[in-house]
Amino acid sequence: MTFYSTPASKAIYVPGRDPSVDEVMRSWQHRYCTFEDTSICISTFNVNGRSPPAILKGWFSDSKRADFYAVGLQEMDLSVGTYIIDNTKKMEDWIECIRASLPGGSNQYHIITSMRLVGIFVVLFKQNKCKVRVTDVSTNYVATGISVLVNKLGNKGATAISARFDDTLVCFVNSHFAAGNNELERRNQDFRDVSQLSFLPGRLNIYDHDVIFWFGDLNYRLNWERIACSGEDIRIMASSSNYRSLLKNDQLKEQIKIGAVFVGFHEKEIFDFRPTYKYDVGTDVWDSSEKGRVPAWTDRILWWKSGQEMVVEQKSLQSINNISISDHKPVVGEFRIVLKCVDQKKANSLYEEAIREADRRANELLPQIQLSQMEVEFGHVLLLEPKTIIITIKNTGKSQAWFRFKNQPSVVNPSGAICAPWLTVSPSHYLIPIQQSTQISLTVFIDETIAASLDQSKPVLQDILVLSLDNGRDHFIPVSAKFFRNRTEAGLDSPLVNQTNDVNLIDFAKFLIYTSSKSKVETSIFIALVIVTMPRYCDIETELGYYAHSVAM
Amino acid sequence: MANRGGNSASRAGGSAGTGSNRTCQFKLVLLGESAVGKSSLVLRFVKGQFHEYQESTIGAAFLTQTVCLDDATVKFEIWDTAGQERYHSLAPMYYRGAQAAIVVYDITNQDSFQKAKNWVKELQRQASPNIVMALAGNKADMANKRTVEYEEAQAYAEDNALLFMETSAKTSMNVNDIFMAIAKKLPIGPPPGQPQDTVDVNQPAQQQKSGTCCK
Repeated sequence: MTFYSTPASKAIYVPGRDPSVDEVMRSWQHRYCTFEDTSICISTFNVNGRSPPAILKGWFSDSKRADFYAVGLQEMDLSVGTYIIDNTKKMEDWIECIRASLPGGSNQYHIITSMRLVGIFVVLFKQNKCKVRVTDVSTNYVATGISVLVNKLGNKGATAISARFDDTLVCFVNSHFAAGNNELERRNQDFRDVSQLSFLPGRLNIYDHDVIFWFGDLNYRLNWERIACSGEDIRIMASSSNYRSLLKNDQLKEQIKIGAVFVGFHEKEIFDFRPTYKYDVGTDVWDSSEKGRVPAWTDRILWWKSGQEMVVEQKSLQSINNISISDHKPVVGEFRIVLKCVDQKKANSLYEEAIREADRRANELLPQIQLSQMEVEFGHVLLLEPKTIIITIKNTGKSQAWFRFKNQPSVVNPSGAICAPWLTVSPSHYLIPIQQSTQISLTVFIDETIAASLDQSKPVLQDILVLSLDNGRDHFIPVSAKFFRNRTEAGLDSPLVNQTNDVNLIDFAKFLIYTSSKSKVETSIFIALVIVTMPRYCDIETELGYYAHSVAM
Repeated sequence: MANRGGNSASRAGGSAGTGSNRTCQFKLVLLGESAVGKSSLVLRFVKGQFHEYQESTIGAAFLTQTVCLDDATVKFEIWDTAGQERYHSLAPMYYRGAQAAIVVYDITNQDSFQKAKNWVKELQRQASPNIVMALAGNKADMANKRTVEYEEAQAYAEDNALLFMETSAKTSMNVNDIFMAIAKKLPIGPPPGQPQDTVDVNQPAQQQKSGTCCK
């Protein structure tokens, strides 16, 4: 593209100004980015208010050290006082426990940030020797629990971290949704509420990130009533080697499938671990209390990415069965993601080209149509005798075409309607799929009221329809007709007299199909004939047949 | 991604430190007599092409094109109108709400220059008072058939505070320049503390009021 005579400006590419340019730049990122792998390990653990031991052995794999660890706890603090007084003791103890449990011990990792909402706690650790630049770190929370006056208590909700890893925006959301077998809709609402999360500065919302890891005690249960008579049956199934079959009745997987929640998110399809809830504390035994909770995979790790260019690979997903301090088991997922490093100079040099490419794509996608006739002439119209002409509109563009007739400016039509009172257009709006056609009818009908409003000295009626394409151009369609009160006035004594000045353009396609079946007939004669006016009162197709027949003879 | 975009505008705040660098969207309308080269100017500007026999525009064609200034990018939403007299009464639909207008005449056609003056008058009366107006004397490649003198048009433009250039869609002379000159005269950026003036660059600006529209 060299037609720009202006010198290259000093434009700097910053994403977020124009989504269409961002899309082009994303698809070109190999031209201005270098890429580097990093490993992220996510864990979610509902700790049931327990105080942590000094270390939880076996929580994280010793052999595979990840660059980053993001850990989300729920029910970190269940004490009543924690809603009122910000008691940090338990949080500090848990941070020390997690740090000690990371592979290699306490001094291999440091905290990037953490965020707590009552018992919902998220923390991000980074390996000291990892070279990834972590910037723009920000945290936030959403409370969705019980309302007290205007505020929501933080017993349910989410805490989240947003950060830039090199030049890739990563978001970690740790959430605790509504509990209870029958609270499916509340959980879905919790998801929607937490989705509103945004981060300062810049009000970045979660979907502005390149990748989101969303984890926590999402509390989705099994629709077990469908497959078993009692919770006990489910407990037996969950203990058997056939536990995976229960996944077919997992509420969350079902809700994702029907598009209710977590649209566009990914989760491992099959779990190679038993439900992570609910155990008798200190054991691997299903809840034996009076309540006898039915097992479920309440503890989940999901992820989302911004586009095809972003590489996220899930390496594993497991629960840690031998950690028994809580009524839940911790769940751990390991990921590899490819981070991008932007060469800002290169990006800037591509920016103008990307803008032009975005314009080109946008202009190419503008809706386009073809009209079977550019102008509509009705010829003679008589009082109380409606006359209709059909126009075919074909969508010839690369996107669907939504058209409507625009209201005329008041100087043209004081009533602000789409056309003059003597004309009707139907339909006045329509959506035409790509490469398909639709027909609209234009009808002139003049009754006494309209006739009285017309200027009798000027029999020629004129109007201009403005056919407007949504997000596209407008077409003008001039319409004209000659109005006479009766046949004598119009010089029409017999209905079969040709009105030589009238031109009726008819659907050519229909016509050609007819002519092609008549071997003796020259198509060109027919095309000439089409332009000849059809006498009034004749059905068009019958009339075509008549002409075709007479010429063929 | 349907759920992207939204309020991501201020992601800029981060690394690059380019608080003044914005994308602004403006509605620009081309007016002028039939066959002076309005569509050809747009085609040259947007696609870098020229067709010797450009079809007559029956309606109002629509294209977008962005230009980069030092501290902002300006996205033009261009409405190229029908020049034939019979459609004159529909023109207000297009210049209403426009922040910029190019009135085009043909330097080999004195009558088209008179029509251009009428358009300028109409815009002065009917269009937004802040509209940035440019006068383009097109077909400058045909100077040997000139009937409108450069000085005459320039004097007229000065009297009426119009940007003025002679252009040629055929040779591309001054085509980008006239759009650039307009972009530079447009009000870039809302006054500080009034972010509510921003518009979504994904939406055509048909309905929006005149004034600044930057993000």
